[in-house]
Amino acid sequence: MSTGGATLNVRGLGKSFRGLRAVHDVGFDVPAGAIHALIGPNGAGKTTTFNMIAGVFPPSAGTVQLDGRTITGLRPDRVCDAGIGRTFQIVKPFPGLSVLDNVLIGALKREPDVSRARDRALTVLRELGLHDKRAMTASNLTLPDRKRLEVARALATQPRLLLLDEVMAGLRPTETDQMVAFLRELNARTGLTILLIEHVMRAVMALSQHIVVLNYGEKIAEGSPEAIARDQRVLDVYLGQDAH
Amino acid sequence: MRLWHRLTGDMTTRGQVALAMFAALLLAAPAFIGSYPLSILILVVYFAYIGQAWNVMMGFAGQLSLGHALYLGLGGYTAAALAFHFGVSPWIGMIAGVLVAMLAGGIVGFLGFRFSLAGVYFALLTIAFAEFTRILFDHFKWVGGSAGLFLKVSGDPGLWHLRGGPVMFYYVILAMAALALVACRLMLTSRLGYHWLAIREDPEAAQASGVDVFRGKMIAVLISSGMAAVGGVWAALLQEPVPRDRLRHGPLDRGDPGADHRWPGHSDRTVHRRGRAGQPGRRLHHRRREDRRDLRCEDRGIEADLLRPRAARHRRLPPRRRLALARAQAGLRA
Repeated sequence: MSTGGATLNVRGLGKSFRGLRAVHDVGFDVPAGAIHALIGPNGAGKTTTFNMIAGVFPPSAGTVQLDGRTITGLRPDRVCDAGIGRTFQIVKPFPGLSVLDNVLIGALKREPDVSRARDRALTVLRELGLHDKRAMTASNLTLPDRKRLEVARALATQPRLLLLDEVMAGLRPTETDQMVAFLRELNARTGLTILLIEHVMRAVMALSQHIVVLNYGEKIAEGSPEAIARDQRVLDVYLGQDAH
Repeated sequence: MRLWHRLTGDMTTRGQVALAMFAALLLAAPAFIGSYPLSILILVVYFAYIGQAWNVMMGFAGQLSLGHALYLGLGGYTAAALAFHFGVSPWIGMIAGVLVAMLAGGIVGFLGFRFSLAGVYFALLTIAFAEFTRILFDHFKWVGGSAGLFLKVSGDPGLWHLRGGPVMFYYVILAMAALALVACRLMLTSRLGYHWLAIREDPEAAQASGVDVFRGKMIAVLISSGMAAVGGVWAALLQEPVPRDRLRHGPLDRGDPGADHRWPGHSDRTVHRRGRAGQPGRRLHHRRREDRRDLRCEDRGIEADLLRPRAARHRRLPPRRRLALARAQAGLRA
């Protein structure tokens, strides 16, 4: 469904809201076809980083490059054009529309013909197990289903990089495993690059090959899941300094 | 077949039959109903059309415009002024009116959408534009200022001049409403329509799904204002006078109590007028007498009306007006 993955390069990314420094000098690379995770305590600046990559607001400093092309400061729809699909942590389905129409709108990005876009949307819905609920109004879905719908809509735009903002939150362990399996399979089949923000360590450890840890807007660690799990600074910020 | 499916969507066969019967009923109505029910029906279909224009903006794209009377009025005034000053056919005037209204809609839309005015703030902007344009037109002598524009009686009524009886106007507006319905349905089931729905439901998510929100909103306001302008042209040329207040506030207005009896279908008078009816009291009566005098001098065609039995005319007037007219006829100053 996608045309391979794209490389993401983030350099010196920073964002200040008035006096508040939300993100400072964050840089990392996601190679094409990789699955990377962005973790950190609440308020660490993960979603802010996502929003800067996705173009919701321009960064105060730094650059974002997709496959070597600078996309810093582009509008979200242009970023989507460039090949980045995203989900929202606080889910944003089109509440009054059917599940199918939600995904159809995403599919219309690359497929201007409505009936062909509908076919594509149905395919994506089938993959995410939402096919039976396609006629339901999005606002009537349960939270886990809305999270799936977010993923489906993002995937329907046929991105080369998928930004997932806490799509496992609120899912039951079996549902988490299903989502992990789906994303893995998707990544293996299409080579789609995935960058995810996640608190569910079960998913992070199972999925990602590389983890970037943020705290107070700064990158404090980076490495393989095993290395991160042993990293003293990471344990400190996650568990508190007395916990070990 | 595919087009048919797009038009009917999920409608059941029963629904389609019902719709066809309803359409047939509307088509046949003028043959069965009197002039008063017809005047009501004309109003109903007119508002169905205007509502469809408004629907593109609010219903589809979710942008609340409370100033659609601006586009209506600009459309009507442009066509009427061109017809009045240059004798241009209303059909050509309609094109000009649509362009003028779309320009206005484009300006309002650009200001609102470019600077991300949303919801009630955008609505306020639309009201502001409609209001100051109204005040501007109060002092715009070329189109008659606050008195409005008095269209001359056309020598040859007919579709080309958009002059004729209520039945003609009924069928024109019915055709417009049907066309608007079909056009809206086609737009809604197009890519653009889905983009509008996305913008209406959640602009941020729409943008993340690759929808150019600004562009979508601009197209909506342009189409909507253009459609409203066509309705305005129709209303301006309606055989009976359309009070300017009606054009100012459009479908959302309180309306003018003194104006209600002057809607279409009441008589076969051939005078076309849009005048101020702000004060439905003495001032209105006074002006209407004046109008009649002027028109009588200007155009002999009006005599047909004035020479009809007085009782017949009286019956169509509310009591206060009857008195005013009676006094005038007795040579008294009301």
